[in-house]
Amino acid sequence: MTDHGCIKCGSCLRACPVLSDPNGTGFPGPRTVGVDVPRFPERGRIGERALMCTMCHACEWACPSGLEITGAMLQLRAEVSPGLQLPGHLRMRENVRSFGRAVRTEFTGWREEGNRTLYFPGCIGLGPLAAMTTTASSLLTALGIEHDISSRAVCCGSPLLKVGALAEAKVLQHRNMETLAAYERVITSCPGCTYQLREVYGVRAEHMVEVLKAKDLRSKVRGKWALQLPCHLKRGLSPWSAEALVHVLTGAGVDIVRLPVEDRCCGGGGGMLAGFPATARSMAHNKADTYRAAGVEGVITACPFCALNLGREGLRVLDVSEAVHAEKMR
Amino acid sequence: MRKDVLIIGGGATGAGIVRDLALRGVECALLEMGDYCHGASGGNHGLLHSGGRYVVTDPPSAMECAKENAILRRTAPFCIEGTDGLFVSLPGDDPSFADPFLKGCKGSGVPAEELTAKEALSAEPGLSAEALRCIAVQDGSIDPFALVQANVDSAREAGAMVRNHCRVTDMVLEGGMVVRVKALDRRSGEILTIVPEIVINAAGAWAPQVAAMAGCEVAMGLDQGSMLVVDGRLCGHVVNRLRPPSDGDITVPNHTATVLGTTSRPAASPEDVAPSRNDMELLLRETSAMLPALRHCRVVRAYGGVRPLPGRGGRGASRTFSLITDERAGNLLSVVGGKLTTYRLMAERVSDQVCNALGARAGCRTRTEPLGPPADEAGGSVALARLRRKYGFKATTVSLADQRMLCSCEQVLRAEAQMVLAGPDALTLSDVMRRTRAGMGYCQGLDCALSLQELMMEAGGTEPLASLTEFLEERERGQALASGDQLRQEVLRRHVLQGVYGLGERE
Repeated sequence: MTDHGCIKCGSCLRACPVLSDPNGTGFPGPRTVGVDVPRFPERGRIGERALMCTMCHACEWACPSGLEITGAMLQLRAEVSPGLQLPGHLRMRENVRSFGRAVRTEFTGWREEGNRTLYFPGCIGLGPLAAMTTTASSLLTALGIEHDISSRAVCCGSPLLKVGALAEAKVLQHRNMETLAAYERVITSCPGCTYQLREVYGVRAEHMVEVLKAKDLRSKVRGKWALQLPCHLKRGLSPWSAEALVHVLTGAGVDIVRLPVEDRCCGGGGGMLAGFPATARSMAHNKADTYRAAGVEGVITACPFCALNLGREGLRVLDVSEAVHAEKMR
Repeated sequence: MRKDVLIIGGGATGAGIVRDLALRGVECALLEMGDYCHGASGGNHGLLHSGGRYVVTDPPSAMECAKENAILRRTAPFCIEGTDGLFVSLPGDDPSFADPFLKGCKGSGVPAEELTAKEALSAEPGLSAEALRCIAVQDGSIDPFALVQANVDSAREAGAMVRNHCRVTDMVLEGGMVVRVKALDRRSGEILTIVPEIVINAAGAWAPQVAAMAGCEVAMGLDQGSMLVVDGRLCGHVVNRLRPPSDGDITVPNHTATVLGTTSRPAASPEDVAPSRNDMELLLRETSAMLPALRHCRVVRAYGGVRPLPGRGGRGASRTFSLITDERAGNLLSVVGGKLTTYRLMAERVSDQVCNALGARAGCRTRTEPLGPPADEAGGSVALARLRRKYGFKATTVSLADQRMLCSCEQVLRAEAQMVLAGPDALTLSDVMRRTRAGMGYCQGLDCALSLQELMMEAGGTEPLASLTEFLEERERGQALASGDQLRQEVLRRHVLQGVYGLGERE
């Protein structure tokens, strides 16, 4: 890396949710990993703690020099990951090798009817959050969006890029592109998949909140709810996508409580869940405490990783598609 | 204090001599007025010459460089990066220079190989697409501070007394011989008196001043050269211009930086090192012709050095060294000229002569005796991976119990500064910087200066506040020409250190 404009102001360090977590202090920090270390010929020996980043982009947003810190960290990961052997990452790669997805598939309601729209729930949506996928699919149907859920769609490759498995990610992309070729429209629930499909594949994928924002919807939930604005929705896709989530929910009449922590990372992204489960857990735990203290029923989000990680803390976490009805359903 | 040999000057030459003599069992001492390398040994671009630069103009120097290059790679691998070097010609350069160059390499024993354009670009992707001819040689980069410190450590281990911050103030002559040398030790404020058999004046650019204390004259040309430190490694090789030695003809990747060099003008004094804006523009213009990415680089600082050259100096002066004696002080030997790459050979020749005079018969051991281990494969963090590269044999003395960072630019652990502060050589913050690299990175001490100060106070170091001010002022001098992102950095640095903490505030 050359020609960087870092002035050592420390804004990225203050913004980093990993560094401020008691279980995340082993992380060398975004400035070391994304700015300082790439300048060293010894950068390949930075060690596995360089991977303790959720790729939440908070550092990048805080940087007054506009440095692409997350991109630089990802580039370094590609360089060092082959030499690192985090058990969770190895397991994830093994899963992809053997059945094409990052986690075990639990979803069974495949729809392969030759529709023009493909709903692409992602690995978590087809695995531990299969119930969410069923609900989301029903919502799309109720909105008049007939769609397939293809058993041939595999992992988008985004988790593999986070652990530096570039060649394996490329293979998945080829497999998915063959499947996607049969469809005119792709709808996703995971901001990570959305980003991967859009920016890496070059496919115009739409995230669920972007589909829902123009629809007439009604709240399905009672009481006050807080938001978990997913990092990869707000800072990965765009802040307008995160605003779309707010509009969908307020438009449907959900009673939303806005909290300052709502766009802070839950600890579930960037390979953290698989690579450093204790840190991912600690970040989720501390965040769940804040939500509980706010006295809300639970949290609504639009990212399977957030839903999974926060959900383990006994908090009620809903995907946006689980919080609203189509107006015409009743 | 009686000593067989007193060496004045702790640059590469002096440190090389004291080690060589100590390994031969000669009782010797070295005094350095500042820190080691504070003259030309530190004020250079850290190039380990292949000899290529001199094959056409100065074949004896080229030959010496080629031999010493191989010896140093073997004996001091920890502080050397075997980057290899390229000599590149561009449109407008004299096309007839390449052939005598190749012929000269052959004649001087400098390994060289001409690359095709495709090979050159694949070896060095940032190279200008306009490059016409490209010759690969065995240049490398070397850390002069680590090299000289390793020589000092080795000399001490062999029984020599070596002290920095000890300025020679006075020489007493009797019967045409120097019989007593007095020096002021900055640590204790005490006057040290040494009674030597032989005095070696290895004071570099200050050699005429030292000789004058004994009533002798040493003719020397002082020649200033400017260099720029650019953040990041913008080339993998040392990249040289394939043309007769001239301004802005070299880029050296070393540690986290690339050093661009050099210029040449007569210097008024050994302290006349300051680079000018013209130098900076010239260096950027000339080197970016070879490596276009340098047009958009971040210049972290500009610095200069003074080359002490035999005779009247200048580009044309030979880079070999000479030994000067004067009947007005029969036991004073002045060493003039030479360069970093051949420091060991100079030391060997001087030591041979000294041993001859003393009637000592031990042979030179520095050709094979290692100064440090090869860099290792330690991992887990970049700081750990670099310990051996910076400290050689001493790397194992850094305590790994506390792995908190002191300097983020250079990934220096607090424990490294503590190790250095516990040793006999670090009196000032700058001394710690030269050994650990803390403060050498692009923030120029913003991130580490106060922590360093804290560690220094914990270690009971002398005059910490004065030392902090001196350190900050020295860093600031390198920022006189700052622009772009580096200027933003400097504004923040001054805002925090001067504005918030009121350090080094001036009218």
